Parts: sequence; structure tokens; C-alpha cells
Amino acid sequence: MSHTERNAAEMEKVRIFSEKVAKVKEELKKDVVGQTEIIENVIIAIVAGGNVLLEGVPGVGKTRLVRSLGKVLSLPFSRIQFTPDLMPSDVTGTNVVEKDENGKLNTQFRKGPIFANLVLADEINRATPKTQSAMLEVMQEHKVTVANHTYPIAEPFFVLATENPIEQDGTYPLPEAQMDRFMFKLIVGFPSAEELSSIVKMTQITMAETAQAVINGEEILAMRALASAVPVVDEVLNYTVDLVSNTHPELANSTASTKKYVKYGASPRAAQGLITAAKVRALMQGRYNVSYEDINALACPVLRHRIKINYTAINDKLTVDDIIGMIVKETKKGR
Amino acid sequence: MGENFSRLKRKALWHRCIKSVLAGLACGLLSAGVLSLLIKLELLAFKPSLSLAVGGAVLLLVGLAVFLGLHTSDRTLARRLDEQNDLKEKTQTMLAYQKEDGALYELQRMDADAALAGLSRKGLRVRGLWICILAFVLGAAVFIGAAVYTPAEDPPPPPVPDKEFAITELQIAAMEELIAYVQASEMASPYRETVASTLTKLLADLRLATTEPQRDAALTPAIETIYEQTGSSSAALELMEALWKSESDGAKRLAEALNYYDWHSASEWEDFSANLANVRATLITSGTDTERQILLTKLASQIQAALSAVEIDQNDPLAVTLSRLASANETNPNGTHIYGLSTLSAMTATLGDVDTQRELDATFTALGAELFRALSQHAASTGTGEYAMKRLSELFGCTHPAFERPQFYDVSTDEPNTDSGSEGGGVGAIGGGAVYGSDDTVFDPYTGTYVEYGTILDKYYALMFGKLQDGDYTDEEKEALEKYFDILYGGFDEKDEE
Repeated sequence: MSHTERNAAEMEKVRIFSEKVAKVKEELKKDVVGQTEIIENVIIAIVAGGNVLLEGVPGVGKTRLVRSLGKVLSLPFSRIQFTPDLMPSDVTGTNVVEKDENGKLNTQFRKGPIFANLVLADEINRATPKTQSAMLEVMQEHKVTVANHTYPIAEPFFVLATENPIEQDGTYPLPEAQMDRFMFKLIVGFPSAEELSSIVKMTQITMAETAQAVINGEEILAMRALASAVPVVDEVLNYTVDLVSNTHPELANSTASTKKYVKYGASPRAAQGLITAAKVRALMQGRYNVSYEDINALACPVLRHRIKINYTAINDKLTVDDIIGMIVKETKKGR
Repeated sequence: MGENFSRLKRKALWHRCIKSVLAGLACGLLSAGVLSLLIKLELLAFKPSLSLAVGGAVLLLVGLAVFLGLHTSDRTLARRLDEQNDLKEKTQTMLAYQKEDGALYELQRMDADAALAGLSRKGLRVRGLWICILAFVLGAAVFIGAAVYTPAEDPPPPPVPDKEFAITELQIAAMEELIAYVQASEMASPYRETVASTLTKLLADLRLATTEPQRDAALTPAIETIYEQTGSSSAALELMEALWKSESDGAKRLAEALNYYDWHSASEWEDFSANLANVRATLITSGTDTERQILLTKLASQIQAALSAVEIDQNDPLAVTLSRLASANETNPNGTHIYGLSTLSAMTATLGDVDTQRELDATFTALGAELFRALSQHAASTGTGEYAMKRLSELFGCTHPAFERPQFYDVSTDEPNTDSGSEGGGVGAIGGGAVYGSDDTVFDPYTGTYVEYGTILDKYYALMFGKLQDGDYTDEEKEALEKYFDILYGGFDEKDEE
């Protein structure tokens, strides 16, 4: 393939990327009213190959969004309703004893709902830590190990989990290690009056999702490959690293806000997630390079579940997002 | 690297040059202005042109320093472009990956270049240009201000008011005494009357004078007049010099006679006549009539030549006598004759040797006495005139600048006393204290002669002592006067001991 032909092919990929993203957005908007930023960030996470934790009060469309996404993506979709009595094997699957045609007893692995491309972990914080931990391996390594036997998960694989910030009785907050497996934590807010009105009108017609499949797994993987090639200049990369480092109060050069309000900071996965997601966002913006703006825009989704604020912040009535905003501002000023 | 980036890079270089020139000019003008101002205010003692040289040097140095200091790398320029135009790090990425091969990189470069191409004219803002312009304006203002600034000249000092003058009773008494002294002196007429009237008028003027300039205005012409009169009446020495220069024995002997007559021995007629006899001897010792005739004629003509060469009044007794000595042909009422030297020369052949000598003796006898009297009168005239000038100097500190004849006063110093006060002399004045405390001769106004300092001091002490005895003086006054004379004598004694 000549230079020109290769360039033409790449340009075609870029064109397809933009087209597919636009179509996905368009289809999702058929079922989800408003939540533009949530939709955009979910698409970013899917293209980037990250898992998403959606947090919001009941009825704001979290589950609907994920279900609709399952349709749009044209991927095997499974839903796991997390409850306190849900066992790990209910998620991963288990070995069962079965008779073969000859009547001989054999153990056979029966795959759990996790064996899908798109998994909806609904109300994930209602399961016990033991069950939650069953998600660790599959979310990070995209494989499941049962009885010393490892089963790979088909790519692309995403976990979209939801949790309810209220009604904490009988829930098990996700441990930090679990949280860190999510690329984004998105806060699904209550819709505006206009959006609510549209939601009501739409559901009077039908409760079913009407979105159509517009993209398949292969296309998603191609888009991911394209996005990973987006160049990141050293200045932006260093800024990202500084931003994540600055969330650690134990480091000498961390910001004043961090030292005051942060209990512990984000893991290296945050920096990786920021750059990966920023590349996708840049392409979605029609740009071929990552900018500071991409990093800053994705700082909250990437960092908010990875930073633990201290009592001073709570006492000062500051949210994690407020503190991330402060850290971003101080990091920019320091450069 | 994109073409648009190169264009902007050239623009950045141009901005850098502008800023360097402005900064250099600002600093150069500022330093030149400040330095010029300091020189004008006399706070620095340098040549004014130095400020321009320093300004030029500062311009070059600062301009160069700013140019080098503002060096911008491509990376920095790309960052500036991205920040100033919100290009979302497109330029930086383009620059960082300009050598990378790949469709996405190429797309990125195209995207960045298109973004740079779309920048407006102000796409690359000149940071700090206004500061440079302001600095330049400030520097120019300081420089122009310094150039046009003229330091205020010191106001002229207020005119010094003339010192007041009021003649004292003591000065009036001294002046009256001086006038009386001149009138009673043996100074030749009409010099005596002229000097006396001059002094009288001077006294009248000084009574009216209220300032020192007025005093000096009165003194100056008076002293000039006295000096002229004194000069006219003291031509003996000049005649002597003229005769001495003629280099004939007779004339030299006559000059010696005139020279011998001086203030130290004015009354010694014997010495004078002995010198005059030497003149006569030179005229009669020759052997032949012809030789004698020549000598007589020569001396006569030399006397006339000397009289012509010296500015002396023809009616002056000395001039009249010398003229008669040269050419008289007189017969007195008593039948005696006085023949001058030229007449005798003409008569030599007729008279013969003996008669000629006899007539020559008669002439020298008759005219010698007259010559002595004339010289005495000259001495008196000179002494009186110069005493008058010296007295005026003592009284008012002002004398004639040409009045430099220390041989008549025997002063120990001829340095003028420039103090204009009444205690010292004016320009050319002779210090009053110079004559005291020495054993040199000083003028005695009572006798009109020069005597030793101790002599006149004794005379004054005797006068003072007599008056102290007769007058009504307190003990303190007596003690003060005696102490004063003790000091005067002490100075004299001390000098004497040395």
C-alpha cells in the first residue's frame, strides 16, 4: 500500500469514526432524553475500552441508557441485578455436573451473565463484597477464572454499573480496588423540567427502547485502534501526570487544596484512563491531537471515584468535583 | 514544519527586533538624558558629549541583550501560538511530531497548518510591546527634557554698597598740618603753591566725601598733580644721568657733582664745590688754547643737550643756572662778568690762558653757589612733594602708582599693601609699619632731611614727654603712651641687638 493510499484509508477510518459516533448519539437520544454529557462520556468510555459506573437516584434513566446502548452497539448484552444474596458464581458462572450421551457424569462450565460484550451491573453496591470482587478480574483482564480454569471474554467487553447514592441501608460500598476498575464514574443528574416533560410524553407512547443497532464490535475495536494512534504532545502528557500526582497529599509538590482536603489520591490507572479517554474525545471533537481541554473535561469523570476526600472537605461542604476543580486550577497555574 | 508556522516565526523574529530596538533606545535615551541632566546640574564633572557616548553604548548593549534574551525556540513559539489563539495544542503537537510518518500525524499537521493559516493579523500578539513603547516614550521624554533644560543661573550678587567714608578730625588736623608744612617748605615756586593749593582743595573735597569711592576720586587727581609737580622739580638726577651718558670728562665730572649732591649730604657745600672744582680742572688742564676751546665748547653743548633731553621747566633755577653755565655772557651792575662755557670758548684766543682761567674761575664761583642753591631747592621740592604723597598714603591709604622711589624713604619692603582700609595703603601704597623698628633713615618733617629712625623717635618721645608733663592726662593715658614708645624702642633695640 502506497503512502497516499494508506493516508486515504486512514482518512476513511476517521470519517467512519465520526459517522459512527454521530449515529450512536443519534440512536441513544431516541431512548434517553437529555443527559447529553452522560451519553458522550459513555461513548468515550466504550470506544476507549473502559468500564463506567453510573451513579444516580432511581428513575433518572441509568438502566435505560445501558439497555439502549446494548441495542445500539449490536453486541451480546446481559444484565445482572445485584442483590445481597447474589453469589459470585451467579456472575461468573459455575461448573455443573451433567450426564453425557453415554450417561457418564462430567463437570461442565456453565457461563454466567458476565460472558457478554456489554454487561449491565445494576445496583452493584447491593451485592456483598465477595460478589463484587468477582468482577475484579473480568473488568481488568477481561477473563474469568473458575476452578483453576480461565475463560477469556470476547472483545469488546464493557461493564456498565449503576448505583444509588441514597438508600445506603443494606448496601456495600465498592472497595477502592473495585472502583479503580471503572474508567469513569458518571453522575446522572435529575432531568430538567423540559427533559422530564419529554420523558413523560415519550413513555406514554411506549416504554420499550426504540434505538437501532448501528455499530458492531469490530467497528468499535477499529475505532479504538484509531483513537489510540492520536498523538499526545509531551506537554499535555506531563500535565496529565502532574494532575494525577497532585491528587496525592503525601507528595511534596501536591497542591494546597490536595493537602487540605484529600485523604488519598488517584492511582496510575487514572492517568492511563485520562490519556486514553482524551484521545477518543479529541477525535470525537474532530481534532487529531489531545489538548489540555480534553484532560480538564475528563478530569472529574476519571478522578472523582478515585479520590477520597477527608473530613475537612466534608466539613467545608465541598464535593469531590469541587476539589478536583481546585486541583485542576492549581495545576494549570503551576505550569 | 508548516509554511504558516514559518511565516509566524519570521513575524516573531521581527517583533523581537522591534522590541530590542525600542528597549535599547529607551535605555540609551534614558541613560543619556539622566547623565546629561547630572552634568548640567554639575553633580558630575564630565564633558556633555560623554552622555551621548554613554547613551549610544547603553543602546547597543541593551538592544543586544534584549535581542538575545528574547530568543524564542520553536517549541516556545508553538506554545505561545496555541495559548494566544486557543488552538488546543495543535501547533505544539504538529511541531513535536513533524517527522512522524502516518496518516493521522499528517492529518494533524494539516489541521494545525490550516488553523495557523486562519489566524488573523493579530494571531501572534507582541507581548510586552506596550511596555517597550512606554519605556521608549519615557526615555525620549527624559532625553528631550534634559536637552532643553537649562539650569537656572545664580542671581547676580547684590551690588556691594560703597563703604562709607567720613574724614576724621585727626585726618583734618593732619591735612592742615601738611598744607602748612608745604607752604612753609623750601619747595621751589610755583610748585609749592600748586601743591599747597592742591592739598587745600583735596581737604575741601574730602570734607564733602561720604564714601570711599568719593574719597578716592578726590585723592587720585590730587596725588597725580603732586606727583607731577614733584617730578618737575626733581630733575637733577635725570640731568645727571644725561650728562653721564655724554662720556666726556667734563660732563662726567659735572654729573658726579650733581650726583654727589643727594639727600644725605645736601648741606655739604664743601664736597659739592670740590666736585665742581674737578669740573673746572678738566677744562683748564689742557695745554693749548685750541684744546681748551674745544673742551669748553663740548661741555657747553653737552649741558644744552642734557637740558633739552630732560623735561625740565626752562625757568627752573637748576635749568637756568646750567644754561647760564653753558652760554652766559653777562655783565653785572657791579661791573663783573659772567661768561658761560661757550662764550669763554669763543674768547679763549683773545683772552689768553691766564685770563681765560680767571674768567672760568669767576664763572664757576658765581654759578657754583647758584647751582648749589638750585640743587638744594630741588632737594627740598622733591622731599616736600614726596613727603606730601607719603603722608596722604599714611592718612588715606592711597598713593600714586608710579611713586616708587624707595631710595628717598629707604623702606625695607616695596610690596604694595592691597588693603583698602584706612589703616593701610591702597594700590602702590607703602606699608606704614615698614620704616619702624629699623635703623634706616627716615624723613624728618621738622628739618626736611632724612635722619636715622632713632633720632626722630627720640624727638617724638621728647615732644610726647613734654606734653605729658604739661597736659592734663590720666595715669592710664600716660601709661599707654609710654608703653607704646617702649614697644617702638623695643623694636629698635631688638633690631640693634641683632
